[in-house]
Amino acid sequence: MIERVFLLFWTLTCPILAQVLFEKPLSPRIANYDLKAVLLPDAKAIDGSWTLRWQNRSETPVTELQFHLYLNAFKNEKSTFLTESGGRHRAGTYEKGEINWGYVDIRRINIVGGEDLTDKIEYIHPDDDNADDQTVIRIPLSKPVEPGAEIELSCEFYSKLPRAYARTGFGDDDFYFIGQWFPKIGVWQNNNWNCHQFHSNSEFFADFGVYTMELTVPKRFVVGANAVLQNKTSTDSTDTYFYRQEDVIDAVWTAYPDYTEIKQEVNIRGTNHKIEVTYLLAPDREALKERYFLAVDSMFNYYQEWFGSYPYSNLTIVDPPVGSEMTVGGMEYPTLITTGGFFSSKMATELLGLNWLEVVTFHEFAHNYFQSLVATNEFEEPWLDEGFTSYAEHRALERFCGETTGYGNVLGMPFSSLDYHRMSYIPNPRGGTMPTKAWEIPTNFYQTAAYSKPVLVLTTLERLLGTTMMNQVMRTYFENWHFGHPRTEDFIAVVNQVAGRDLSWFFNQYVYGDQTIDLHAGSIINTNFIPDEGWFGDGSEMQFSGGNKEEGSDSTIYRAKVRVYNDGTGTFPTDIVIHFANGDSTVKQWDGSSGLIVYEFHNTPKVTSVAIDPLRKNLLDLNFSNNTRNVEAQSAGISRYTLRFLFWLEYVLQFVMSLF
Amino acid sequence: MNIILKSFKQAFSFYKLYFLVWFLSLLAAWPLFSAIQNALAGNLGMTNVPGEWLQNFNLGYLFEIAVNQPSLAWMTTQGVRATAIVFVLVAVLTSAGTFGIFRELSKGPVDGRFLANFLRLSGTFFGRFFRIGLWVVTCVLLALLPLMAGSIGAIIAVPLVSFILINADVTRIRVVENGEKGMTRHFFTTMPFVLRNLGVFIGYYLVSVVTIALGLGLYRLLDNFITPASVSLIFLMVMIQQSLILFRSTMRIQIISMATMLYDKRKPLPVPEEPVIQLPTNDSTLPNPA
Ligand SMILES: [Zn+2]
Repeated sequence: MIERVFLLFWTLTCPILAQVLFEKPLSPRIANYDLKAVLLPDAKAIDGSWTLRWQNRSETPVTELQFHLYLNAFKNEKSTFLTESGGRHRAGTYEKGEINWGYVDIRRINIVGGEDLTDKIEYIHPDDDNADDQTVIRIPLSKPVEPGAEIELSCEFYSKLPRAYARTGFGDDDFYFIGQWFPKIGVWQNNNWNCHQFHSNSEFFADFGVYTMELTVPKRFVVGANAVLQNKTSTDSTDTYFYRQEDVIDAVWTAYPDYTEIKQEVNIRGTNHKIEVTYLLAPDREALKERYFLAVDSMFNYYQEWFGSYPYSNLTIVDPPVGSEMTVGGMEYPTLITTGGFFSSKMATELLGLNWLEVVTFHEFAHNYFQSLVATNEFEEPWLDEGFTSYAEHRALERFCGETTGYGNVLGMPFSSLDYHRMSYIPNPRGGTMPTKAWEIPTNFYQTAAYSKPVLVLTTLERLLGTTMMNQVMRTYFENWHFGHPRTEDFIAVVNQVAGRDLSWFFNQYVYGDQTIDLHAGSIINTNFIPDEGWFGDGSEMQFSGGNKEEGSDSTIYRAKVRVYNDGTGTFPTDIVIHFANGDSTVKQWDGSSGLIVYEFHNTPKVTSVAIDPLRKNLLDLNFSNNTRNVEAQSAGISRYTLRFLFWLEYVLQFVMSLF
Repeated sequence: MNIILKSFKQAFSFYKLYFLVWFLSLLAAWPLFSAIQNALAGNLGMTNVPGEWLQNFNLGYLFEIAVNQPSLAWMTTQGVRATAIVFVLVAVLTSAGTFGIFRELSKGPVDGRFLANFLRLSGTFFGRFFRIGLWVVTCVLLALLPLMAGSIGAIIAVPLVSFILINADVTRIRVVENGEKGMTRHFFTTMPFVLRNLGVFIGYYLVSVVTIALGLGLYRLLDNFITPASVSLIFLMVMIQQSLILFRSTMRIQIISMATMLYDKRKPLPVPEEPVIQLPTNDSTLPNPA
């Protein structure tokens, strides 16, 4: 009771003018947090607390609560995160040493105005048998939360931040990127808690709610968060920032003395929606301002056109300092993304020829659609999260950077995002299937299952349905499921509904299954066709026939055989175009079933070439280079490059000659 | 200045030599080129890929072939390794022959057939030049270490590498002159002489380097200008490329000719029978000429 009175007092005196952002809730506001954090730079830690109001929107009473304690992934070498990843993340690994480990310690948790639950905390490990993993807890309740009821909890916690090597923690020079830092309630779904352990490849699944953050830091820091700044107060030594965000699934923030803050206002064309973009740029990145502005303005408009409207009025883009781009760069949170750091710089762009700034920015922002708004379960179906995001990124790159140069002109060679994803898929197409729990996907197949194959599958679907219908599919999917938790079958239902036909054959083979396709043009055999000669028919119908011309004449008649194969295991309906010597061509529809098919032509001009899938609709084809076949060999296009290679070899030898 | 003009004249009129060097470089690079050409033609010759590549290159096809035929990737790797070895051998052979020829020329007209002389001199100095080359590679790699600290390291690396390359050329000249063994000693005892005359050497070498850069610049210009999208344009491009190789070969000859003349002009008294060996330790032998 005393706490209640205190709370009332606090609310009245609180300096937040708790301005509401949206007149009507946009989402089911199930999990609502008021977070407070004091950054302790010497201890590399946060002294934190929250009040959580959680609603039971199901039909069944809830008798226990489950929470993620994400930071405990970095508590010791026995956590599931560390054992699964070997402590590796991208190019980096964790560092040993006392200061480098992280954890979250719940000091007290109680029902507001009621029972203290601290002693009831119990670690559980629903995904594996790792008794040492402490990233999920359960707390049994003496009194269940009834359907439709709300429970209000209060918690004090101490978050020791790890040295950032995987997405959250502290870096050199007072750099902090603080994600997954507070005890976070799971998702009550189908009469069960969906609250997975923190795995190295997946971390996001949460309910929507209203978040307020009161962040206190020493004065030297520049602060940013995934929320709207509503107020700031100061003492002699500290600043306190008051943030609020509504209808999101997470709260994240960053503090670093050397950020340069830049603002951009983006107008969504054709609407009166304006978004304020805040850039927090590491030193020397200001030079990228114009490039960012152009890319970000385009990306907002593309996604609006293809998927639907970004409902918030703010986005924060954090470009981390050198050294931290590999650890916390390229990450996604609702209304806040981190980008490519050094690899986006002018120097790196010129050196590598990669459009890294655009690749990362388009990707991370697309997560605001696929994961933050369409809040899929990254633990259980990572492809709905990373795959849809990568598809959006691919489309944005294709439009912004050119069809063949989405990723750049790497060493002078055009390199598209589809090239990149095919290079991931082709060497190992059957390493697993896409809708698989993240931690059950083999490590060497994760990139393919979660990112690359989904891009190829969705782009193939786009080419199968046509871009207009695909846009309709994506818009409907977004419209139906933003602020919800769809699963693979929900997406498929949208596709079937919009397309007006059943596409299970496609999804069963390439989404749920691991079927492969390798369409392959085999031999073309033209044989001089000599018809029987003489008079045929009776009476007035009688006609003289035969007498073929000499071989090589334009009007020589041939009997031609064209062989095409599918060396894969799946089927995919495909067009085959056959060209003749007289300039004619014919299109055959092939069901693309596995094995060999032979097309025979009698009484025709010579067949000169065959092309399977000439419009390249099927991006899952394991080998495009064998899709065409000509009767005559060509080599100029090869020699052009091999002769250049010869030249460079000789040039290298000249260089060696000056050494020896 | 006289030396520069003379060396240019000598190099560019010595067509037998520069055509030989060009031919050797073509010969050394040919097997790998032709293996790759054949592999690609075998895989893609009957497809539309060559036609597409005439317009635009696509890395994807190469990748598909590499994945579908792992043996091809293996063959290429082995081919690159073998070519690297051949390159070193050809480089030593050419160097030994060329330095030898210029040493003999500086003493007066050379009798006999050019090719026979070239091969004889290559054979004579092959082993010694190979060992000098090993020292050069080691020292150049060490001299490049400052680059680890970023592009600022070039301030140290560039003068050091220049010094090592000039020192190596002068060592070669001394070796063919005296016909002595003991390359390590030669390589390091040349350093004081080169250091004393470093300004002069760098000045003269710079003329050659600038000439090479101009040639390369002209090539880049033409390369940007011409998109070889037809057989005749490809032929034109190959002519231009091979001309650059020929030019580059001639410039190496010019440098050797120039260095020989420069050495003769500046050389110390003939090396005494029992030289005072001042073998400095490795570290102190890499002075900072700046
Ligand atoms: Zn992603």
